[in-house]
Amino acid sequence: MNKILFNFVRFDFWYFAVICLIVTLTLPLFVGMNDLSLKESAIVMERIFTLIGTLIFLPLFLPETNEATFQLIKTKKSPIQLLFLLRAFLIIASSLLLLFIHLKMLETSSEIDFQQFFLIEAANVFFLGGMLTLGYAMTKQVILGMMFPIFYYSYCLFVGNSYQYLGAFYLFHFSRFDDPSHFWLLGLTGLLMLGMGIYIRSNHNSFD
Amino acid sequence: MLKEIEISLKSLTFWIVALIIGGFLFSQFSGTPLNEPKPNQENYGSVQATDQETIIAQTMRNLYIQHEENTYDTYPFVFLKEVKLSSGEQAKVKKILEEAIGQPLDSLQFETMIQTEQGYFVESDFKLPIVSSYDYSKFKQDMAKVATIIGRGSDFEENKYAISATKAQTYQGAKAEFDKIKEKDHVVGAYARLISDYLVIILSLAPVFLAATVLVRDQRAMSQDTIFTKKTSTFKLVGTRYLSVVILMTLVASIVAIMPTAQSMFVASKLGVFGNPLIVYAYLAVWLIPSILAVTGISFLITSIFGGIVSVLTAFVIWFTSLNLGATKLDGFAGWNLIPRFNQVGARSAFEAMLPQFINNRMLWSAIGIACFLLSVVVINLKRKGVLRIGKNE
Repeated sequence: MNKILFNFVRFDFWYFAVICLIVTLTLPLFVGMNDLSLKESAIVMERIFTLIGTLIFLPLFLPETNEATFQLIKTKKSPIQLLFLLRAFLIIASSLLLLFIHLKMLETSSEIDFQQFFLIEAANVFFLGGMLTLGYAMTKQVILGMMFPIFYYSYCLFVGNSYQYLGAFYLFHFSRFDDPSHFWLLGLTGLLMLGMGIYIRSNHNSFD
Repeated sequence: MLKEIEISLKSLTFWIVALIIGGFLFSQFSGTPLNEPKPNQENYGSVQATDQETIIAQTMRNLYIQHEENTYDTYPFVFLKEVKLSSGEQAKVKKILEEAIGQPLDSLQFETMIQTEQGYFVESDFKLPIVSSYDYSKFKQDMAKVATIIGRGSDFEENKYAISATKAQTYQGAKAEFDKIKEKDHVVGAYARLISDYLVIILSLAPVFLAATVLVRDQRAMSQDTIFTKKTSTFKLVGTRYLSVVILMTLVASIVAIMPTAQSMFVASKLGVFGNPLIVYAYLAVWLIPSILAVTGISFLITSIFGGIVSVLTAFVIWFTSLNLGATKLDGFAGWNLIPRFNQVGARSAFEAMLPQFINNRMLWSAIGIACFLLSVVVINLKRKGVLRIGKNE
């Protein structure tokens, strides 16, 4: 199990993590992150960091894209669910670490409420990451899996004043200064989708 | 070719993409009414002003407001960034303003700012008294200095202020515009631009999913090596797939446009005009096909080199950047943007003004798409011959 997890980090996870880290650290070159008001900081976080945070969920099932590899790993002693859960834990921890770095960078020169920003954005990232994982597991195609969070994010960008119909599942509540108190529902739904994705992929069910 | 279309038609990806394109258009398009202007209306909207006097007046007014609040709007990359200047930089901007009005700025402040419960605001019809000796070349020099002080993406860059000035439309102007929409656009053309505006947004992204899956299909089925041994040329092999994606995406756009086209024909009939639906489809073809060609071509090239994940991520970055760069001029701007915008009904004169730019834009993106497709043929051919061994199974 340790070796499989180590190989996951070595061959699949590390470059996603490094790319996400580089993008997070170089973000001030592309997006204004100085002297931002609370609302402007929330816009940068909700619209940009959400994408970075979601990207890191991509490698979860990537090593087993090849069916033969999947079957081989299933023959191992340790249950594949456990392997996926450990990877998911690693991904979640990494996304939270990246979020921490992003918010620390914002905090140095802009106005933010660290705790509230952290919780709300973690919920956003879990939701889109969970959607990606579930879509990937259900279709067994990474491209199809990516389609769901990308289109959901795009829909939230264009939903305009109808965003209220999305309720707690609207991604940019905070930058609209709306009450984001239901963020926990968004985050929990994301974690639920993540769990369902792992269950479906482990049991080899899909729409194939 | 038909076989390729048939395979894609049976794929889950195609139907999800088609549903999303349809859903997006229906969520955005609403039957905005097109009313004939009547004399003595309160206002007739506004049009772009191109005379230098208006451009100077409105840009300086904007500079004055942002200087007073020491909050300068900039779009350095994607999002609004409000810049605050140091006292030294503020003094430089103040000097430029004072040169333009020929008097100390402080003498204007209390005449122009009105206080409300929400704070201070500049009177809506306020005009800075620009001195007659302040000409356009001096104005351009000053704005270049201001743009340097504030930083990238401010309102005082020439490409921004030259197209941002507006003037109130008159009854005669509004009537002439309305008559033009009836005679030249047959009314439906006015709506066709809006339908195209919405569809080009989603069609500058959606084809990548079909394109990437079409190209990795053989890898997934592990039939790539078998297919590579066939006699068929790589150009034919990849070309049929490229065309099938372009045809299917165009077909989806044509089908989802039926309902808004019917709505616009209904509006036309109420105005006593036959709204020829072919006008709408001509707009859709010119507006959308270049974007589909480009996104599909770029996706084919990147998928053939780096695989589907990188292809989707690249397409998303291009789409997101294009979308945000065009967000400051929604009511009509093409530039070199992948997503030319025209988010208004009517305004044929404004569209005619941007037409040369629009045509160049569409030709450029068509050429980029076809060039990328041809390069992908070269890459896949090299892979087929065993010269190149890149790309991952997805």
